[in-house]
Amino acid sequence: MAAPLSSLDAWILIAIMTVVSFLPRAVFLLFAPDLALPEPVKRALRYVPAAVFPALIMPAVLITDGRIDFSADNARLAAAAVAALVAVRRGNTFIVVLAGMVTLHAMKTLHGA
Amino acid sequence: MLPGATGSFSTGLICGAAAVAAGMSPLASMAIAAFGYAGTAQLVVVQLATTGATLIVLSLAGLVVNLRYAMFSLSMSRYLTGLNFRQRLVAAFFLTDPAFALSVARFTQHPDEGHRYAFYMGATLAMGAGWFIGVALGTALGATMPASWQIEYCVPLTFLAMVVMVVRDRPTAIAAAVSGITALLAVNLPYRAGLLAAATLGIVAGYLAESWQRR
Repeated sequence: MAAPLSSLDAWILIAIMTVVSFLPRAVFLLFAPDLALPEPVKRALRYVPAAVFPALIMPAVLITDGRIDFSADNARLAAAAVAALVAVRRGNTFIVVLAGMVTLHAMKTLHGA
Repeated sequence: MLPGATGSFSTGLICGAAAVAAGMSPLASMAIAAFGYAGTAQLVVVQLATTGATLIVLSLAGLVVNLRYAMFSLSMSRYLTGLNFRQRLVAAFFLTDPAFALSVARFTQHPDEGHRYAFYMGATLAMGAGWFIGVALGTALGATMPASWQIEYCVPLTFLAMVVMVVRDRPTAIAAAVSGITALLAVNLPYRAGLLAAATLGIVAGYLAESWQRR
């Protein structure tokens, strides 16, 4: 599913990241210090993180070859479940990732893959 | 400032390893960290690029993830007054979550702080050092790890940790659920357009849920 990036892709990504990171940071500090955001826009912005991350997580965890995969063979599902549990209890990103990766490989070893 | 720097270090570690796992050269991995200077957006953009998203989709996704910086930028422009253009340029480029959080905390507790720009730059330097050391280490380690380690799975796990932190009440939980379900149903849309559909519906759902809750 994942194709390695070519070196051209990589430099295009660097250019994109430079632009999409700088513009929001500069909008008020550099360009328009007196511009005021309308209240509904501020309220909507509050939901951006909660609405973006699950859209990235769910396909990465549950989709195998274009289909939803709830089977026990899906080691990524068990890894994500353990990571979620750790996240709810501790909240430290590094420990969450570590717990998930350990589970991923434990499950793969268990299934002999 | 230490929590900010260690947080940036571990994000940098994952970002460096993920960039190399996606096929970027060590130089490109360092460059995207330096010029973009935004860990979460970088993880999103790089991951989307490996799964066949078009440039428009991944640019929009990166922009959406970085929208919070516009709010930080607004807030900081109220505090950092009297700067010249070069100082404002530097302040904008190095605006990050920990630098913002530390500065706002300081400026609220000490409204008479006379060296705001210096404080802000100190905060951003501490976290920037953590970030670059993390990225360099992640890049070096990532290049030596075999593909069977599936190091790229660190990325969705990082997002998982973040979503748990941002879901704090019913409207944010509804936003997250609507987004996740939409993303699964729309996964076979071309160019990863399902991501934008899911994010948009999630934001609308959270917004509406909050409106209903207020009645």
